[in-house]
Amino acid sequence: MSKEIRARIKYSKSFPASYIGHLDTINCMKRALRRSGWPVVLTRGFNPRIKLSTSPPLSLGFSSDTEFIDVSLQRHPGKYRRDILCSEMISGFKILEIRFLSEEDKEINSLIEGFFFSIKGENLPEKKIDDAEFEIKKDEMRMKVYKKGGNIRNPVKLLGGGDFKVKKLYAFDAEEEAI
Amino acid sequence: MNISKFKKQLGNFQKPGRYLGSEKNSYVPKKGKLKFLLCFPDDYTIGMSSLGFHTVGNIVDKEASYSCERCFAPWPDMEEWLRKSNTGLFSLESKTEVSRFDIVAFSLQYELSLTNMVNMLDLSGINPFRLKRKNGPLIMGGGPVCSNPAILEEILDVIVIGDAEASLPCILKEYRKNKEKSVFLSRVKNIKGVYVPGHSDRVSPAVCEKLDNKYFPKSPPVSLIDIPHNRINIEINRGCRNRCSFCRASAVYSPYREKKTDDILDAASGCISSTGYDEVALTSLSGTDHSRLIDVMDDIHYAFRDLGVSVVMSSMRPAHFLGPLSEKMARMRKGGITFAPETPSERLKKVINKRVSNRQILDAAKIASSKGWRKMKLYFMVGLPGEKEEDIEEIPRFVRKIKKESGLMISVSVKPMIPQPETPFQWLENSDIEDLNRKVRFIAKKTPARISGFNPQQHIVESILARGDSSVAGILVAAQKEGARFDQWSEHFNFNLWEKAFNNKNSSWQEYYYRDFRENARFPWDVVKRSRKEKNRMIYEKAIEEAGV
Repeated sequence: MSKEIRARIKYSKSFPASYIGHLDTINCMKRALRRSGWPVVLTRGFNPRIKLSTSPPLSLGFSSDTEFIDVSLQRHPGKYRRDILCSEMISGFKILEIRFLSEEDKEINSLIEGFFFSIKGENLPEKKIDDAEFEIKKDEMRMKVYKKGGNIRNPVKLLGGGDFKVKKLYAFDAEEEAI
Repeated sequence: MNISKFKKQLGNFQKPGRYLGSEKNSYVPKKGKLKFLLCFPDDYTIGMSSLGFHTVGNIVDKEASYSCERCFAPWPDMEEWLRKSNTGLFSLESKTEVSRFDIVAFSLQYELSLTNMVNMLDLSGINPFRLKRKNGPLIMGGGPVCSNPAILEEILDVIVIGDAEASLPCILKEYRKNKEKSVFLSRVKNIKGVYVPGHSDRVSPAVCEKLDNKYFPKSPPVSLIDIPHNRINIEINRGCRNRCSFCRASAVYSPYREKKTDDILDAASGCISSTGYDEVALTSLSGTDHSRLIDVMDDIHYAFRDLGVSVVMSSMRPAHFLGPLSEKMARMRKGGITFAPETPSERLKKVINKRVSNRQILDAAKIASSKGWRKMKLYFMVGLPGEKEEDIEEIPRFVRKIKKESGLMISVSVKPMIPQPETPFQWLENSDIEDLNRKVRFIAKKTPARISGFNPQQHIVESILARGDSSVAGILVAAQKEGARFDQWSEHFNFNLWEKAFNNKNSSWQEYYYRDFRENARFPWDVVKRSRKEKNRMIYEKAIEEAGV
C-alpha cells in the first residue's frame, strides 16, 4: 500500500460563508472534497470519515484570509482535480493555495501560534489588552492575538464586546512568521 | 428588500446560515420568467430535510418558463426583526418579497405547521382568507395535510391532492397559458388531483404511476448548516402493503409502487457526485418491503464504499431485519435501530391490523445487539380501540424484557392515536384527554427507558386540525393572530393561545376534539374521492367487534 500524503489547503472565508460556523465549514469542505473526487483517506472503524485537521475555529460573522485544512490523501490528486476543488467551493469560500506537505511538516494547529486581525468599527477602545498587541489607524485596529491554552481568543471579547467588523489577516508561527 | 440592512442584522439571528441561500445547487433565479416561490412552513433545517420539498422544487426548476425560489418560516428572532423594520418576508435566493411572486406554494407535511403557513402569509402582507384577496400571488398547497382539504378551503386558491409529480407539471402548463386568476381557476380544476375551493365539487387524488427518476432531485440544494437529515434521501417505494388501520400515510400514498434497482443506483450516484453527502437513506413507509432491497444495498455499498458512503434505512419491519438484511446493515455506519410495535398486546395488534409479533421484535433486538448496535427506539401508541389497563401495563414489561435480553439502550416514544381521515378508524372518537395523559404518565413512570413524544395539548390541536372542517380555518388564523407559531416545537407551543383562539370564535377545543363521527355518512374530507371507504367501514366494524367496544 502506498504511503499517505498530506495536502494543506489555504482558503479565505468572506460573506456569505462568514456566517457558517466552524463545524459546518468542515462539513462543507468534506463535501467539496468528495464532489471533486479527491483520493481522500478515510479513518478506520465503523464510522469512516475523511481524515483531516483544521486551523483553530473562526468566530461566526468574522471573515478571514487565512484558514487552513490539512487533508490526508491516498495519492496526489493531479491538476485537474485541484481545479475541480476550486470550482466546487461554495460562495464565500476561495482556495488561495494548495501545498503538499513533507513528513516533517507539523500539523497546522500546532504550527499556528496566533493570528493578526483587522477590526473596524466605531468606538474602538484604546485600553491595554493582555496577550494581544494592537495599533489603531483611523477607524481600524490591527491586533495580534496569541494562542492561550491551545485556543485563539476572540478579539472582540478581548475588547469587551461591541459591533465590529473583524477579519483575520494572517496566521503566524512561533517565529512570528506569516504562514 | 434592502439587502445591506439585512446583512448587518444577520449576526444578531440564531443560526444565520439558514437565511443565506448560497448553498451548493441552490436554485438560480431566472430573469423574466414566471416567479414560483416554494414555501416550507417550518424552520429551514426541517424543510431542507424534506424529500417532497426538494422534489417539488426540482419539478418547477426544470420548467424553462418558471423561476423557482424557496422560503422557510422565519425563526422568532427573524420575525421580530421583520415586523419591527416593517420588512416583508422574502425569498431565500434573490431576497425578493413574497408578495411579488406569481405563485406561492406551500409544502404541507404536518398539521402543526399550519400556523406557520398563516404567519408567513401575514408577514408577506397577504390576507390569509382567499375570498378577501383581491390581487397578489396565487396561493397553492400540497402534501399529506391536503388529504383533508376542508381545513384549507378558506385559505388556499388551489389544493393539490396526491402525487405532485402527476399534477404539478400540468398545473404549471395551465398557468403559463392563463395567468388571469379566475380563468386559470376555472380551467385548472379539470386536472386530476387539483381541488379548487369554490370551483371543484369532488376530486380524485393524482397518482404517479411509475416511481422513476423523471422528477427525482439528483442535485438538491445542500444545506450550509447541520440539519436533521443531512444526507441523500431516496424514496425506494411509495405506498404501503401493510395497511395498519390507524395509518393515514398508507391511505394517502397508495397504491404501492417500487423504484427499480437501476433507478435507485442512478439516483444515489447522481446525488453523491452533486452533493458530496456520505450517507444515503432509503426512505419509504416500509422500506424493507422492497422486493430487491438486498441487491440495492449491495449495489450502493460496493459502488461507493471507497468514498465512505453508508446506507441507512428509514423504516424497517423486524421480520425482514431477521434475515440477511441485518448482515448488510451491520457493515454500514450504525446509528440506532427503530421499530414500531405500537402495542405489545397481541389482542390489540389484531384490532389495529399490525402484523408484527413481540417475538420478532425481541429476536431483532438480540440480533442488532450481537452485530454491534447499541441503541433501539420503540414507538408505542395509546388510545387504541378496546385498550384495557393490562394492555398499558404490558408496555413497561415488554420494554424491560427487550432491554434485559438484548442489552440495548432503549428509548421509547408514546403517542396517542388520532382517528385519522381516510383510515378505517376515521369513524372513531378521540380518546379522553385525561385518560390518555394518565396512561402516558404510567408508562413513563414504569418503563426503564427514556420516554419522549407526548404533549397532550399538542395532540389536541393536531387532532382538531387533522379532522377539521372549513370552520377550523378561522380558528387557525385566530391562533396565529394570538401568536401561535412553530406548534410542532414543544418549546414554542402554547396551548393558551389556541384556547384564546377558540374563545374568540365562540367555540371550545372540546367541541372539535370530541366530535363524534360514528354515525356520520359524510366526513369533511369526503371531497376527496377514494375507493376504500366501503372497505374501510368493513375493517372498522370488524375491529370494533374484535375490540369489544
